[in-house]
Amino acid sequence: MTDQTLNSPTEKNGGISRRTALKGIGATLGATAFATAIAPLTEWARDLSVDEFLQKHYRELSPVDLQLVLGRLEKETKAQYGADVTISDHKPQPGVQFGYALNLSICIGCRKCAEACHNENNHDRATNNSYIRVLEMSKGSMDMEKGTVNYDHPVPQKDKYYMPVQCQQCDNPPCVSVCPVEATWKESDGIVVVDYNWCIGCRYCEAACPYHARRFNWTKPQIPKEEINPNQSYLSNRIRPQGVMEKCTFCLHRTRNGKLPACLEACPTGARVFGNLLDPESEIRWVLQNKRVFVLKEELGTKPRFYYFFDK
Amino acid sequence: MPQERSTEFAHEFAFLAPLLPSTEQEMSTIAQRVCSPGKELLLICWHIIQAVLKALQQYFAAAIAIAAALACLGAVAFDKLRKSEENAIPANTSIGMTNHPTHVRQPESPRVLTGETNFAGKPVSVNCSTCHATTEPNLELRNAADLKEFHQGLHFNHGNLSCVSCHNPGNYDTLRLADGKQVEFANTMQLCSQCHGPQARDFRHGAHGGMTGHWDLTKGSRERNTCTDCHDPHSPAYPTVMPVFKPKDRNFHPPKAH
Ligand code: HEC
Ligand code: HEC
Ligand code: HEC
Ligand code: HEC
Repeated sequence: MTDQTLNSPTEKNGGISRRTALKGIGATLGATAFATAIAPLTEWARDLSVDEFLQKHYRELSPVDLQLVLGRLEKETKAQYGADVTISDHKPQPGVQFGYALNLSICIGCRKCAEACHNENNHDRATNNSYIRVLEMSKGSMDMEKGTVNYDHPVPQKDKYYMPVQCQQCDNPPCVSVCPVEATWKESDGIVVVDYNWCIGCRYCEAACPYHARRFNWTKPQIPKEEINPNQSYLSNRIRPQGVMEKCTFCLHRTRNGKLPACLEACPTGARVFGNLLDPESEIRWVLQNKRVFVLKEELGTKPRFYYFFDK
Repeated sequence: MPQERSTEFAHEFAFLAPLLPSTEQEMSTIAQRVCSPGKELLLICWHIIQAVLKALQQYFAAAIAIAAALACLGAVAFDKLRKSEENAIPANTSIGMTNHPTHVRQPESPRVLTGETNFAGKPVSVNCSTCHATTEPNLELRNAADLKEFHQGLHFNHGNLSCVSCHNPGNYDTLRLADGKQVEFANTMQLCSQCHGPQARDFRHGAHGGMTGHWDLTKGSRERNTCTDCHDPHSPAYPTVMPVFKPKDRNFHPPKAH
C-alpha cells in the first residue's frame, strides 16, 4: 500500500492558504473588521463566526484546540438545528488500510445503499443527496459514463446490470492534488477526507474527480432535528456548512470504530465486501485473491481502493 | 505568620486555576475526547490536582502538590506508552486478541396453520409430522401443480428437484441431504450448500449473503443472514423489487434560483 506523507498544509509553503491570506490582511484590518469586510463576498459567509474563520487547519489543531472546535460545532448544531449531537474526532487506526469491493453479479440496483448513506451522513433532505450513485448499465458495456441514474422501474431488468459508484478512495487522488488550499488529503488508512472548515468551495476537486464522487453544498443542508444522526465525526458526517465540498469517507465515524459502513449494512443482497487490506484473513483480501476484480477507469492511474467483480 | 505565607503560596499557584476545567462534568468530556481509554486516569489526576489546589492553603501541602502532579504525569505517560505498544502490532489481525462472535441466523421449523385460534386468540399451528407421520410420502412429486389435496398455492421453481430432494420422507419435521443424512430446519444452510458449493464458499468468506455489525471482530460481533432469508427454498431466484430513493438531478447543477 502507498504510504502517503501527511504534510502539514502550511509547512509546504507557496500555496495560498486561507490562514496566510488572513494573517496578511488581518494585520492591518484586525480580524473582526476583516470578517466583516469579506462577508458580502460570499452568501454563506454570513453563517461564519469569527472563531470559525480563525480556526486553524484540522491537522494543525492541538488536541486542546480541537476539543474546543468540536465543542463549538456541537453548540452550533444545537443552535441551528435544535439537535444534541456528539462530534468526535476518529483517528485512523494503525495497521489498517481500508478496501471495499462490490459484486456486480449480485447487486440488483435497489438503491438502498444510497438511501442509507443519505440518512447516515446527514445529507440535505430536499435534494436526496447521497455519496452513492447507482448506475443502470447495459450488459456488455463497462463505460460508467453511459450509465443512467434516474431509472424508475422494477429491478433488476434482464438486459441490465447495476453499478453503485461512490468515492473510490484513490491512492493517487486527483481531487487532492488540485485543491489550492490543501483542504482535502488522504489519511494513513486510505480514506480521503475534507476539512469542511478549511475548504473554500472552489469546486476544483469536483471537476477533477473522474468518478463524479464529490458533492458541493449549494445550500445549507436542511434536516429535521429528529432525523439527524447524532453520532458524528469532524471529518465525516457532521452537518456540512453551505458552500463546501463533501464526499464519501467510508463512514469513518463507524469504520474507525470497527463497524461496517452504513451502505454495506443496508444492502439487502449482500453485494458489498469491506475490510482491512492488511489483514490476510479479511473478507476483502479473500475477494481480491479469489475473484477477478477490476477498478473503474484504471487507465487514469488513480489507483482506486474500491474494487468491482462479477461471479462469472 | 504561617497562615500568611500559605496564602502567598496559593496565590503563586493561582495561575493554574483557569487552565483547569472547573467542574467534573467539563473535565469528563475533555478526558473522554483526549484519550477515551485513559479517561479514568485523567479524571483521577484531575481530582488529585483539585484536592491539592485546595490543600495549597496549607503551607506543607506544596510539596505534596508537586509530587502528586509528577506522579500523574508519570502515570499518563506510562499509559500512553502501553497504548503505543499495543498499537505497534503491524496489521490489525485477530492474532492474540479475543474475537467477538459471528452469529448466523437460523431459520425456525416451518409449521402449518390449522385456521383455528386458541383461547388466547392466537392462531393454532401444527408441525409437519402431525399429518405426514401417518401418510405414505410421495417420492416422485416435483411439481407444485400436482398437489391436489393440500399445500395449495405453493409456488415451486427450483431446478428439476423433487420435494424429497430436500424434505425427509422418513421425518417431515426435518430435511435430508443427498446421502440420506437428516438435517434440522435450523441447519438449512447445510442443505443448500451441498448443491451450491461456490455460493457456500463465498458466503463463508463474507462475499455472499451480506452481514451487519463489525468488520473488526476484535471490536464487536457480527450478524449473518441465512440462505433462506434471501432465497425462498421453493422459488429461490432473488425477487424483483422497485428501487427506492430516486435521485434528484442536483449533483452537477446549482439549484434553480428561487
Ligand atoms: C394438515 C395435514 C398436513 C400438514 C400439517 C402438512 N402436510 Fe404436507 N401434505 C399433506 C397432504 C395431504 C399432502 C399430499 C398432497 C397431494 O399430493 O395433493 C402433502 C404433501 C406434502 C409434500 C409432497 C410430498 C408428499 O409426500 O406428498 C411435501 C414435501 C410436504 N407435504 C411437506 C410438508 C411440510 C414440510 C409440512 C410442515 C410445514 C407439511 N407438509 C405439513 C398434508 C399435510
Ligand atoms: C431445495 C430444497 C427444497 C425442495 C426441493 C422443496 N422444499 Fe419445501 N421447504 C424447504 C425448506 C428449507 C423449507 C423451510 C422453509 C422456511 O424456512 O420457511 C420448506 C418448507 C416447506 C413447507 C412449509 C412451509 C411453506 O412454504 O409452506 C411445505 C409445505 C413444503 N416445503 C412443501 C414442499 C413441496 C410440496 C415440495 C415439492 C413440490 C418442496 N417443499 C420442495 C426446502 C425444500
Ligand atoms: C439437491 C440439490 C439442490 C439443493 C439442496 C438446493 N438447490 Fe438450489 N438449485 C439447484 C438446481 C439444480 C438449480 C437450478 C440451476 C440451474 O437452473 O442452472 C438451483 C438453483 C438455485 C438458485 C438460482 C435460481 C435462479 O432461478 O436463478 C438459487 C438462488 C438457489 N438454487 C438457492 C438454493 C437455496 C437457498 C437452497 C437451500 C434452501 C438450495 N438452493 C438448495 C439444486 C439445489
Ligand atoms: C443477503 C441475501 C442473500 C443471502 C443471505 C444469500 N444469497 Fe444467494 N444470492 C443473493 C442475490 C441477490 C443473488 C443474485 C440474484 C440475482 O441477481 O437474481 C444470489 C444468487 C445466488 C445463486 C444463484 C447464482 C446464479 O448463478 O444465478 C445461488 C445458487 C445462491 N445465491 C445461493 C445461496 C446460498 C446457498 C446461500 C446461503 C449460503 C445464499 N445464496 C445466501 C442474495 C443472497
